[in-house]
Amino acid sequence: MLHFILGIDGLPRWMWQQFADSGVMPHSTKLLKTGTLVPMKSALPEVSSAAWASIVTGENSGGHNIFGFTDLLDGSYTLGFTSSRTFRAKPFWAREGAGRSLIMNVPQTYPAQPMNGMLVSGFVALDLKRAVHPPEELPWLESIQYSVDADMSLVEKGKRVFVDELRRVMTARCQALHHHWDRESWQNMMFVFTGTDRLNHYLWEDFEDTTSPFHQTFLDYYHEVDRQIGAILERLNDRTTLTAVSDHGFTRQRMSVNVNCLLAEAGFLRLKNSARPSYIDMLPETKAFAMDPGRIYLHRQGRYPGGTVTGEEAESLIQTLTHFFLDATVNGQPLASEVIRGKDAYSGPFAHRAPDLIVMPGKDIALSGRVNLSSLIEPTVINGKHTYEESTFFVRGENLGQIPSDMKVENVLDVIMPAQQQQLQRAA
Amino acid sequence: MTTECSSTANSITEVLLAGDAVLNLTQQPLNTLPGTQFIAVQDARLTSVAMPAAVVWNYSLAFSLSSLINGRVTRLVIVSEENCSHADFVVRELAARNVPHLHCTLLNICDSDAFMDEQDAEAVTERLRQLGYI
Repeated sequence: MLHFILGIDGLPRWMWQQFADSGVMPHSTKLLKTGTLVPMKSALPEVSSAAWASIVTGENSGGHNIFGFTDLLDGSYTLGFTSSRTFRAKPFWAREGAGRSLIMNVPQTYPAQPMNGMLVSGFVALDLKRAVHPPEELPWLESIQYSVDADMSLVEKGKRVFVDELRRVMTARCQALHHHWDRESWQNMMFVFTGTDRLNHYLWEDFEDTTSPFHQTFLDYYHEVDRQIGAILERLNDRTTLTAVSDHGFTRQRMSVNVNCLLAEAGFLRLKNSARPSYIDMLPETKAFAMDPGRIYLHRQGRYPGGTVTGEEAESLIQTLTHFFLDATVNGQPLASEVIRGKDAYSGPFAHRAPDLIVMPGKDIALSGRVNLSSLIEPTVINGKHTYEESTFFVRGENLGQIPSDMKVENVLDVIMPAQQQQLQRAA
Repeated sequence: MTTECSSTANSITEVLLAGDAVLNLTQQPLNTLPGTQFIAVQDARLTSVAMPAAVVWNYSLAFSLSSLINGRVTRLVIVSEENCSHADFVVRELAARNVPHLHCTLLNICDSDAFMDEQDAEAVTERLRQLGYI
């Protein structure tokens, strides 16, 4: 095997090092001594769909066309969900000469597309039947009760029940990994743990509070992830380039702020009265709106059916909105740590579809792009949020490219598959 | 920056910018916006027209590639099937002549833009809501 890429969704680089040092993740202790671990920057915004797409294609969102989990269909107010069919750049396993690949649980790969090898889709997969390529692999996966996703509603029944569900799903996935690993000599393998992200979202407060009854539950889950990592490491030899990545970092969330509420309060967003508000309810006087999590779009003439913001108006409006977000506070806390212009953040054939601004949330704050404007501060049981900084990049192997000092998710393939990447760049 | 991407016949509008002209090397009709320029063959040379058109490539057309960029057309978008040797040739020619271009490969998926029904959409909405996205 040439490459094994291990994904650990939402694992911050610092936390992996901390758990390796403290013995929570003993296999990782040994692993981290054999290669290079560096912090990596996520996608903009720091959302899993865009970040995983960047990791597997080597492009930023302007190149692969995934800017979030949702998008408006061009020239309309129709909300669409991004999927494998929104991908507009080839993932490494679909490239010419990539060889046979086993790809499991990579987010944003649903529905499963035909490829050379086997693929089981990750989040947001809905139906296992459409998540598996080739389809003849489906019956065995069904027989082990492979789940495309953990049942997150179980968190309402208690954190222990929820973590048990995460563990059940992980166990079946790892069983499937090893079963299919045994079946042929794969050129590339990629496997992503996603329970770590769910655990971090719902139990981050318990991780931080060492007196919490669920603090040990949190650590135990990571211990189990590490045990599975150990089982993978046992099977790898020195000829395989091993990469471990996460798509974003994590930190504490104390408040979820609805950005569209803020825009509406300030008069930038105007909606018709509606029982179930959606983007189609935007009135022509709307100047800007938000999509998950902090993507800000001008309501541009020509881009949206009722858009009224002209090209001449756009520049001053972008400046006004930038100041607006940087000055905004919620419950006395700054809303934004930074506001980035879309045209500075993206490159590629789809860069013109990018948001005009990306609002990076302030400390303790998560941003949402709901169009329901009922509350500025949204009630939620989620207490952990993604960070742009401090995702994880670990690599060990030979013939690697140089790790940039400002490592980003779109640089992963440059480092681990430098020859392939250079070939693509020459062709371009 | 990449000059390659993929799309579908229905979603091709995602890649088109003002000033683009589409050189459609497939025989598939493409979804386009009003005002989109196409490249057609007239009098054995390539020319831009305001109507949807497709081109059956032959190498004698190559001489007219450079003349397509003018005040109205600032970039050529070559649309082809996967592994199309004609498209590869055109892209090489354009690159050699420093003509701004984008090569868009059409994904061969029959129901690519409509795989999610209303029930699926609600299920995705629920998943994303549980994680606080929407």
